[in-house]
Amino acid sequence: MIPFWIDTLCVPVGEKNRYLEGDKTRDLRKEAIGQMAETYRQADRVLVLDSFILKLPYSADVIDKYLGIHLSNWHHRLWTMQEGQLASRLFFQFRNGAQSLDMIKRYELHTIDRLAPQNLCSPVRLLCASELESFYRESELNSNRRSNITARLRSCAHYLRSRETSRSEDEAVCVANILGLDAKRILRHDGADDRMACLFDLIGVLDPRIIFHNHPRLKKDGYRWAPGTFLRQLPDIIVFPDTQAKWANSIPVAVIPGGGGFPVSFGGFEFSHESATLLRRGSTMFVKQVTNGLGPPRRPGDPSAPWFGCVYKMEVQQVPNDVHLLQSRQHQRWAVILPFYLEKDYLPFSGILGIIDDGAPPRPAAAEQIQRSVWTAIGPHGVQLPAYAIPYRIRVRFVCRVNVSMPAQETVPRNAPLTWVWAYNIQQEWCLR
Amino acid sequence: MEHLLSPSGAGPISIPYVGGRVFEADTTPSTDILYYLKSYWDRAGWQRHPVTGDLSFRNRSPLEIVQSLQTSLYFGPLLSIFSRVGVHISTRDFLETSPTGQEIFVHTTNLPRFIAEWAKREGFSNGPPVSTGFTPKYMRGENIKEMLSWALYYLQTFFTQESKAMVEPYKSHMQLVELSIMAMGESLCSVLCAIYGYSMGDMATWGPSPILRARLRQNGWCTSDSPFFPESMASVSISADYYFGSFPCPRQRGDHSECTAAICNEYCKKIKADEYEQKHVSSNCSCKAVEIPDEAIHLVARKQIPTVLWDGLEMKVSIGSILNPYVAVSHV
Repeated sequence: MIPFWIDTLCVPVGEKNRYLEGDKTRDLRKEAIGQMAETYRQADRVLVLDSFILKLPYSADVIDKYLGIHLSNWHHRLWTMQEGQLASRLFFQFRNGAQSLDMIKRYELHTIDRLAPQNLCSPVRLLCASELESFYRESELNSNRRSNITARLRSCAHYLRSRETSRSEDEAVCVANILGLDAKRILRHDGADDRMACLFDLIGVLDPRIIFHNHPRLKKDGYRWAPGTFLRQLPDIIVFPDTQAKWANSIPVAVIPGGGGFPVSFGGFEFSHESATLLRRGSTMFVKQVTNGLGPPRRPGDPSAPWFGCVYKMEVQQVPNDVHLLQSRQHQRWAVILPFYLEKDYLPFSGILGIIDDGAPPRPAAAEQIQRSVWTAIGPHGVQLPAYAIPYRIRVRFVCRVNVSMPAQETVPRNAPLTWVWAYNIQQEWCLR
Repeated sequence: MEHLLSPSGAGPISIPYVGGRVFEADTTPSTDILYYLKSYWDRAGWQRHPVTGDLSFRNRSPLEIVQSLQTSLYFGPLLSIFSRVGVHISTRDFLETSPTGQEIFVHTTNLPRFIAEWAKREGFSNGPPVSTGFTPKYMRGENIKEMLSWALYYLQTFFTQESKAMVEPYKSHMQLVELSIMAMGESLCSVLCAIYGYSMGDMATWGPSPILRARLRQNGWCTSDSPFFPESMASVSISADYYFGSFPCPRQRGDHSECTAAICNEYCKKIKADEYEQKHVSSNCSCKAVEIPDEAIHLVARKQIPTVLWDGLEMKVSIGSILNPYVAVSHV
């Protein structure tokens, strides 16, 4: 007989058991949860019990076994993803026996010729035999943990979309365990948002393009740019059309821990506006560069207007619930951060709208200052592009996403009110909080 | 679709052959097979936009459009690819007349045989393609890859756009022809990778097919069930959807109208502690739930892993470690 570990018998729950001899300074339930990753990692075997999988006989066909696991509740829970991936040997209990994914795969590969024409045409059987085994060996196969953590986070986020948990505050703990980070540090915090914030501090470096994600965001100062959850979210956390992905800055950047924000270098523009009228979902504004003027053409031989001669449209997308807490000020400085330039070749795109912190360095406002600044230049493809940047980080409080596009200029109403903006090039540093 | 795996007894999806001039009808085929494929529409007299060069379907009947797309994007790449590797096939190898003689269908029963011949001529790859030296085999692989990319590009460009305004039966024919091209393209990409060493992760995804998605829904599958192999580099959306959509989902989870593509609502149900029913080994057992033994609590307090052993009469607690191997149970 072999001893076993099961949470219902090995994790202290209830007032009486969680606090040993009434000592409330130590929560043993939390400590046991903090130990869970090691518990599964050190186990000789991990055995999965699921009522749907239990109905299948040991002798079931590999496709039936695959479907049994694919459709099971176990395969769609948050904790079990961690438990399965940490296992050195993962077994599933069928009706009359247990079998590991490795055993299922080896048996099937022994009988199947993967290069036979019918299997090349339709590799369904082969994938049923091998897919889950590859997935649940992910952490074992991925031995170089720290150096590619941004890619592993993205991959983890992708898998978590089809997972669920009863306790939202468990998500950060599980993700930390899956990524090989110290989950005990996360357990020192209570509440889902605080734990996710701690998770991002532990991850340390992120692909800067993550700020453009369309997941629900954390409602915590310093982390409003960050995804609040990966569960049930369909889009990728990095949302870029394939045609643009190669241009966007994707070099990982360090998060400033403790709510210091996330420093990124991207293009965008700023303007002044009173918030009450701006922050309504679907509200639109026509914007134009304040310099509005004469300058070289868009591109030699191209008669169309350069970027600073065009009108752009900005449409507010989802406005967060706590927007009423923002104090409305008449000349509030706002920023829109875009991955590229305010130029038609790089639009439409959903950027970030935020409030510029008080004390942020001023941008040129007076005509003579503008004339002394380089604000447009010929870009890599011979097209005029915004060239201005200040050598300081502009701190921005994230508010919401906005869609920025360039409509056909003849469709812009003649008397449409314009908001004058000041554009930045892609070297501008922002600190999103 | 006969080349795709399906469960025994499952009803096939019949792909109509819509007729028209066969792809190989040109009596002066070019020695440049790739050019011959890409210039099909020009040889067949189709108009192009004078400025953009885009193919124009204006003043063409729905039947002509469907015929042209089936010939150029199904039979064209199919015949061209096998011709490129020296396996000579014809449109007729993929046609079958119904028992009544009234209809002709596209059948892929012969495809595995032709693939076997292709593999015999080229051999299977034992590594990624080596671009230095531009060997004849490498060039054939690149040509075939380009043919498949070309077919996929025009599939995505034309099918949805052209079928919008069509009436039946052409609308259905368009969807079925589209499905057949997807199924063929996906399978040939798989063969391409095996023979020439390309990575399946670099191949485009041919699906999803609206016909297969509807079939899955009708058989009780949730929209989130597909893709069935989300972790796979091999994008087998067509062959997987085709296989699993041909039988009812083995787990009925009620109405899926509120489910998202990310997750089925069934998995989002929260278990209420006061409604939870403990399972017993035998149905007439009414024993009480066992609490965590005190010894286990103390082991947790000492930052050790508690494990339990049940011999049928009593529970023993020990420390789990490499020296005391244990099984960790994972459950929901």
